[in-house]
Amino acid sequence: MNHFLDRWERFWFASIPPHVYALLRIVFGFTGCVTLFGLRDLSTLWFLDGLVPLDVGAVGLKQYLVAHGAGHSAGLLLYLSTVASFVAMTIGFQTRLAVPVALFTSLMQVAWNYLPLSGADAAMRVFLFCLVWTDCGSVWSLDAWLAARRNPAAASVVDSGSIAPLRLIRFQVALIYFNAGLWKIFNPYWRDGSAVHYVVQSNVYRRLPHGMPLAFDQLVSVLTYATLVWELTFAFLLLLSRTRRIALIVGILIHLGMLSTIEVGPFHFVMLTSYLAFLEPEDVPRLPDRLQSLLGRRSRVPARVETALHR
Amino acid sequence: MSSERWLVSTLIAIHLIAISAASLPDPRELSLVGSAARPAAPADALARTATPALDATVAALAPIEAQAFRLTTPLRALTRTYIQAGLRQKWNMFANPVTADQYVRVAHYVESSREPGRIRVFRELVLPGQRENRARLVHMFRDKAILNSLEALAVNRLESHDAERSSDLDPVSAYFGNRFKTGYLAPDETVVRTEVWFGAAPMPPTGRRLTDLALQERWDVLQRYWDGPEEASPAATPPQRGALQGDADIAWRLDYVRDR
Repeated sequence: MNHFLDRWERFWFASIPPHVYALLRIVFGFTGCVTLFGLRDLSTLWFLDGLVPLDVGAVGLKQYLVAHGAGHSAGLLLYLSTVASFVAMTIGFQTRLAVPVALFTSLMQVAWNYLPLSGADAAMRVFLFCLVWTDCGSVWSLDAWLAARRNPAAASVVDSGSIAPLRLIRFQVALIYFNAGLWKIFNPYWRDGSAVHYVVQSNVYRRLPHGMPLAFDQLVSVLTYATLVWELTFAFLLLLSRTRRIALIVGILIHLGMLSTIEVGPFHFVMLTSYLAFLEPEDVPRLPDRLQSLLGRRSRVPARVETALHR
Repeated sequence: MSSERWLVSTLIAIHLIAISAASLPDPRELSLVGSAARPAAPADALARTATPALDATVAALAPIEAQAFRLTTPLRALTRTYIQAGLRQKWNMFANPVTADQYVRVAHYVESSREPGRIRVFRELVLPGQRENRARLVHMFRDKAILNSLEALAVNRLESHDAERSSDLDPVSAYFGNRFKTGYLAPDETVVRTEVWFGAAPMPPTGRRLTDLALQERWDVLQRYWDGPEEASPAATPPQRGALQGDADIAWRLDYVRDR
């Protein structure tokens, strides 16, 4: 029993540098900002006389606003609040507040108008829910920069965080793929190898006017089964470090392949950015240095930030 | 472990149990996804081998999944509020691929106070929002909104056993009606009736494509809409819900009618 408890405690409560959370905050925040830019047609997607269901979600509030002629101003206010929360989250301004507010405004958006939303928004919400439980603004944020200006001595040391939220994000990613695979295997087109054909040829998704060329059809069953097997096994492949790498590489290839052939909004970006949760947390603080050396520049970052973990 | 960690551990366990239970698909919904008819026999050697094996797997898996769903019903009931607060776990993207190209057309019936009794009909294509004879580079959230309305209509019709239900298309009708009125009508003109038509054009199975001629015929039809709302000749009596029309290889079905 004690052995199990020790392992449980190590698994969920190990200390990690906070940089991985900062990185996730930035990429999810940025993806949210880009999505909101796509949703900027206020008269269609946010005003209550737009393409908005009045009988679903916050019905009483919507009817009250319509009756009082405030459907436009309320829609504008919700949009601007959502944008402000995601911008604040991305740059790390008032981060402890910005992340929960971004989650809250995302939930409000569902109640206000779920119609233009997709799996991307649902995935974003469940990831934000995990980020809410950690301080993701202690590094790589405006907050950290302001704190360093106020007290330069304290800026060289940052507190470590618990690994639990990161584990929850990883679990959530695995659950998304397993659930998606489970749905798919029950459909005859996924089992007979033709599903990818119907997805990439559909007139509401395909990128090219004629869809994919006929030669592509020789790959259709391979791609259909590869997607199905990969989704169903993703969670199990994560268990070993070697197979985890394979699962993530295949995932990147599948998402990039879909991104180049069909147009389905921000879903692929949200999922690809969620893969950053699988980086080794100890490696993340060195990412800027690595990026700079890749770009052939000497690091301009001052002495590496020492985390409480290494003190 | 400290008492604080015990508490957090309990919350983590509850969270994992809740989202796992919520992610089990409802067997009734799975049976809808599984009820699609195969348009053709598997096309290649891999598919001919894998399909029977996967069919057998699903035949064995279905009762286990249904049993797991039944056994976890109390867990879902206990955690429903928590999940509905924003942790919904239904990731069924592309689980049921549509085997036809999809279109939505809105017809506006207009009457002018200057000519009472004379009805003019204008039709506009609202889905897809971009011309399909051009590359699609950006996402149109408006298209997603219309597709979600259509999905809500289909699901709610099945769940309510009401084939006549159409209120899920209210936002589509209201939005495009208002937009048409603002953009095209004079002050003395009003929209007296709005129709929403769903169009489907067959998608050839794997290994086949529409001929250039068939595709061009379809695009010639769509071209009339791409240039903006087109005026159509009104029928002697307006069509009823469920009415069918054809345009090249697109079969239109009237799904929604709103008289004002």
